[in-house]
Amino acid sequence: MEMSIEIAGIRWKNSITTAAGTFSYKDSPKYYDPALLGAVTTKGVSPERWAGNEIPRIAEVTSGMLNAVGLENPGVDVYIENELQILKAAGATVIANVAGHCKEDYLTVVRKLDITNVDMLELNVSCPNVREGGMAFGVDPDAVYGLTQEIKAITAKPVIVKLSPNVTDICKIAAAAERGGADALSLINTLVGMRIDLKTGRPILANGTGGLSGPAIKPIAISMVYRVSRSVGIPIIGMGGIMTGEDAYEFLLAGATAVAVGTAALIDPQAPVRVLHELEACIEKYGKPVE
Amino acid sequence: MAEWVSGNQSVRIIENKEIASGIYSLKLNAPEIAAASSSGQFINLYLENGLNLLPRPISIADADAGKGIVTLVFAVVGSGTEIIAGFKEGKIVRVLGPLGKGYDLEFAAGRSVLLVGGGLGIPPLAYAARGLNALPDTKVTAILGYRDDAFYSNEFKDFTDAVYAISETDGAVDIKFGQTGNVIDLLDHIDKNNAMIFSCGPAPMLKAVYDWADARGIPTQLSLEARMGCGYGVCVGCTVRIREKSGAIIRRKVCAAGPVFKGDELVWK
Repeated sequence: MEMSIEIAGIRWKNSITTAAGTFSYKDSPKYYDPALLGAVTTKGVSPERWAGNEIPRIAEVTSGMLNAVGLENPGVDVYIENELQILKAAGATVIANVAGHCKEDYLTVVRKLDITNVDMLELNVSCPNVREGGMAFGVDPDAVYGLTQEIKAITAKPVIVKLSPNVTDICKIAAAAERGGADALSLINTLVGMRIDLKTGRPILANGTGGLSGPAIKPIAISMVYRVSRSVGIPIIGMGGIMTGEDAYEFLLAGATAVAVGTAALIDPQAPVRVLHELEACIEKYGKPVE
Repeated sequence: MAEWVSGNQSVRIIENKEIASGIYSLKLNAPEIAAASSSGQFINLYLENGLNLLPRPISIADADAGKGIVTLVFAVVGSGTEIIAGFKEGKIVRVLGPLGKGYDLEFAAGRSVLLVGGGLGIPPLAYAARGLNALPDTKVTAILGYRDDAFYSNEFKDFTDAVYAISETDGAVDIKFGQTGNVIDLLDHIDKNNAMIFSCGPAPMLKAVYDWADARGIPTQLSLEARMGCGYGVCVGCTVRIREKSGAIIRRKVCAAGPVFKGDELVWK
C-alpha cells in the first residue's frame, strides 16, 4: 500500500514517527529498523548537557504514566556527532526535538542543527518538567510567535512547533505558531499531573508534578487535533496515547497528516512498527482518510 | 544495526506459588529468554489489563536453558504485583527480556565470592551461585539476611561451599553466628581472604555492605533496585549517579547500564 506522505516539503515513507523522549538511538534500533518509519523524532536536545531531574522520574497512573525526566540530554554537540549521524547513516528521516531554558538556548541549538543533515526541527515549547523555558513559552501566544519567527529567520530546515495542552485555548497558540512561520504543528505534549504517595503524603515524583501520557489522554488529544486542524492551514502531527493502528487512524480522521507513537513504545519496543502495520490494515478496512 | 532482538513475547506460566508471606515464585516456559539470560538480569512482565501499562521489572531468580524455564521471585508491593500474584498456571503473559547488565562472572573466577543478599534480593543471587559454581577454583559463600522467616535459601545449597542465614527477628532461621541480626553481623565472621562480593537487597543494606567492603578493600558488584518506566533504556526514568574514571559524575540508566554496578563507581550520599 502507498503510505508515503509529504509534510512541510519532506517526504516520509509513511505517516508514523516517534514522540520525543520515547526513542533511543542505542536501545530502540535493537528492536526495529528506524528507517521503516516515516521519521524518528529524537529526545529533546539543549545547547549543553542537561542533568535532568532527580529520581523518581516516573509514576504509573490508571491507563497512563507520569514522567518528569526534565530533558536529561548530552547537549547538541554530542547529539550531532553521535546520535544524528548514526540514525542518518541507518537511513532514517530524523526530526530533532529542540529544547531550551531561554530564547538564546533555542537559537543556539537551531544554529548548530541548521548546518547538519537533520531533516526537520521540532521546537519543544511545551515540556512541563523544566522550570524555565519549555512550557513557559508554549502557554503564551506572543512568546510562541516571537520564538517561531526568530527560529525561522535563521534556519532553512522545516520547523514543527510542539504544542502544550495545558492552555485555555490551544487554537490561539496554534495560530501564533502559524503566524510566526511554523511549517507544521505537533500536538499534544503531556498534561500536567501529580500522584501522591499514601504512606508519606508527598508527591511520588521528585519534581512534584509530571507530564501525563498514554491512553488516558487520547480523547483530549483527539479533540485538540480536531479543533486545531480546522483552525490552521499547516499540517499536524497528532499524538497522545496512540497504542494501536486504530488509534493512529482516529488521529488521521481528526485532521492529522501524521502521528507519533510515544508511551506505547515504552511498553512494547516495537510499537511504532506494529502501529504502522495496523494502520495499513485499518486504511484497507475503512479507506484513506480524506484531507 | 542489522542485529534484531526479540520484542515482547508471549510465554506460559507453569507455576505461581507463594513461598513466604506475600512472596511468590513464578515459573515461565520461556526457552528463548532462558537461553539468553545471565545472573543479575531481569525481565519485564506486562499486565495487559489496560490500566497498569508499565512493565513490572523482575529479577531472574533462575534460568534453566535445558528445560527452557525462567523463575522469577517477586513480592506483592502494590496493585500490579497483587494482580500478578493472582495469575494462574497456564496463563499466557507478555514479557520482554532478558534485560540489563548482570554480574561479571569472569571477574569473580578464582576468587572467594560472598553472595550477600537481603530479603527479595536473595533469589537472584542463587542464579549467580549456579553460574559461579561452574567456574574453576571459585569459592562461593551465601550470606542471607531476612527480616522474618527464611525463604529460597535451599536453592543455594547445590551451588555454594557454605550458606549462612540470619534474621532481624528471632524467626525460624538457621542462624550460625549470634542470635538475631543482619548480614553485616555475619560478614564479620567470614574469611575475607581473596574475597569479593555480589550483593542484592534493599538500598540501606547495599550501602552498609559497600561501606563494610570498601573499608577492607574488597571489590563489590551491587544490584540496584529502581523505579523504572520502560526497563530497556528509552525513557531515562531510572538514572543513578556514577563516578567515571576521570572523576566526572554522570547519570546512567539502571535498566540498561545496570542493574549491577561496581560499588566504587556509585556515588554514595
